[in-house]
Amino acid sequence: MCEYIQSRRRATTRRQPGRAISPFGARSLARCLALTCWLFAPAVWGQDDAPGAPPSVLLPAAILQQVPLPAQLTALDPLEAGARIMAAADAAENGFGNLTVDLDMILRTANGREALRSLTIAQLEVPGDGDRTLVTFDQPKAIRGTGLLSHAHGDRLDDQWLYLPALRRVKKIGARNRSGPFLGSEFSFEDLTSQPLAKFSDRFLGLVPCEAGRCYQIKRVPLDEFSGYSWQTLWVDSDALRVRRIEYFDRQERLKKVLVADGFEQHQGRFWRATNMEMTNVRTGKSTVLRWRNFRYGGDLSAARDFSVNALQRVR
Amino acid sequence: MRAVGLPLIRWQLLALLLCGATAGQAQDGSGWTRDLDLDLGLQNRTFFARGADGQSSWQPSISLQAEWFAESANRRHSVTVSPFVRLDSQDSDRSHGDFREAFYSYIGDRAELHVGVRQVFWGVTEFKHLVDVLNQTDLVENIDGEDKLGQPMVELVLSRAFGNLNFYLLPGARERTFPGPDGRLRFGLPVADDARFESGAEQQRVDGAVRWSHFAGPLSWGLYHFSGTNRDPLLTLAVPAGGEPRLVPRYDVIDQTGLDAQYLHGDWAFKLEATTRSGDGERFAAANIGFERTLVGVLGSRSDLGLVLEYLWDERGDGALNTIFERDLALGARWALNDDGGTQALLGVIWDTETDEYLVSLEASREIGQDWRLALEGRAFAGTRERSALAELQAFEDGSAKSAFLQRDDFLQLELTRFF
Repeated sequence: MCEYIQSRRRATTRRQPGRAISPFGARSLARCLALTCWLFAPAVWGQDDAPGAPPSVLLPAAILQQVPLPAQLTALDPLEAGARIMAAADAAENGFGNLTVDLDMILRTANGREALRSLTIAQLEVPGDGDRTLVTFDQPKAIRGTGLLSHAHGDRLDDQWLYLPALRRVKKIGARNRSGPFLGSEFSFEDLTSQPLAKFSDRFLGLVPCEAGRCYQIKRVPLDEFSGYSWQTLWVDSDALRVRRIEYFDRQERLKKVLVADGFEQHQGRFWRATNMEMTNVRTGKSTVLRWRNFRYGGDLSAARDFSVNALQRVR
Repeated sequence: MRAVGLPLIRWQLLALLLCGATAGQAQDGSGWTRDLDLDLGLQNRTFFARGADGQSSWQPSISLQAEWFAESANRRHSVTVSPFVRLDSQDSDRSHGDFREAFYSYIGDRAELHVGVRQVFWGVTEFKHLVDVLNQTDLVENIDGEDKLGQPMVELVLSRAFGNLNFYLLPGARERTFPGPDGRLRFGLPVADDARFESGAEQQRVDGAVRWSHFAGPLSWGLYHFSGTNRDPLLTLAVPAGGEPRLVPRYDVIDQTGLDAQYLHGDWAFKLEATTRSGDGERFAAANIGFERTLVGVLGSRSDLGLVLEYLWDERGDGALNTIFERDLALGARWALNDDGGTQALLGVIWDTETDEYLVSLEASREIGQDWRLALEGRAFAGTRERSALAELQAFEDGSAKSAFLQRDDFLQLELTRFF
């Protein structure tokens, strides 16, 4: 899903020649997790998707208007159409400043056994560079006090550090190979973090009915050789450009995982966040539910004080 | 009981518990948030043989670590207090307590000040922590040197465009903990309580250190200088008139400059730690150099496999009397299952390329539910034979078999920790 955000960002960035380097290239873990949420629209909006419904209620009109009308979309090159849709959604994503949010991950095995992981994610928009993200682990208690700091960069690999409280040790870790599971969940680092923008192409497949009413269907192909996927199929609602469903296809081009989201909230009169997301591994029957809660915007957070290696060592 | 101030610590821990302090978070009207975590550990070490002096092959113990943390509403001020205590059924010297940390912090926008007892870790390699010098090793806890005693300090951190500058003022050095007569993983001869310090101020010398650390893309590094009492004692043989021979720890005053660096490239992490030290004998250099390669989703599974190779080098060679690793090759495999219990294992082998002694180490753990963790640890020593107490000391000093004193001490350790 995050590649989705990136490619939308890529498209947006193209339209902003003032940015010398793509500032939102590699997205960080929490940013993607959290920001993906706003894309998910409440089902109720879909049912209300009558012609002429005021779209500005959902998103600023200036953003929605960046998406060509359906008739024009089908006339466009499918890759251009896909880029345009995502560019519009991307424009609505910027400007939140900083956000701190709590996340529960519920890991379920096929026979229903559950394990809980709790984390707190703080993220900060950095003008001219990628976001900074600090993830603090709370549950299970054996890993509490562990921290993960990411500095996302548009033009190069992200910087990432892990803090191991038992040794008081900070480890700078590689940010390239992200196809592995995150905290034992069905989400991979790749699903939660992001990668350089130029590594995706997005193809508009068509306008299809979905529980939100109508969704743009997009096929996203990661160009990154380290990606665990050959492509993903996204359902993006036409009301407010929110992802409602993603199907992930592995390197053998077989369906591997399905992500579904609901429980949407609009924050700050603008940003849409899903409060529930469920990723199901269709092969193993395992699933991971994400419950987002306690969104705090506009905290007294600064890059140097709260998103530095020093800050990582102060994680509790 | 060797560690300083144990009775005090015990009472405080007891008080902490008896006052009905419950683990968790609280916020009062003053706007300070408070948080208390408790870790209760039940541990047993099973040795494959009785000790040379008949010590038990069975060593259960219990430990409690608390961390109390309070922070002001504006997050500028905080206090951390983290006492630790272990009660060992066999070794009275392993029954010990310590303030791992107890300090106040002021956090500015580009500067931090920490005052009190702290733990500071430097370094990048896995098998030997060469550049990590501020805190004394709590050797009775674990022979891997990763458990540390709290160090009193004033630390000033300046965060600038060129990186971090950390300044340390370190009043007083801690003595290393050593197993007692009933303990295992020790020399045949007892280690005396009356350590010798080179400094005229004895243990109370005020030491200092400064470190610069920074990163640029895939490269990160730290460069420091430390001047003060060596945390790494030399054990000298003393034979008192009419008494039994024993080992007396000697703490020299040293100057040590150290560098640690890491370069990330794809799945690879290249690591270097290097030091040069003067003050305890001739100036010498030492280095750890190696790499770690991480394979994600190995063999199509969910598992990650990390492969570690390091070379541990000390210019003094066999003459290095405060390490058993001077010409050693270390190989490790770190396996993370990525399951819902966070199961992981680390298997390591350190091989002395000159004497063919080797040490095998296993560490594995998994979480059980939300509140428990089960950890297995094992060490085996091989490549040389057992000797008498004096002969093993001789073999240590001439470097022919530095691990002779450990040959009977292969063990497996199981620890169950409950987190509150």
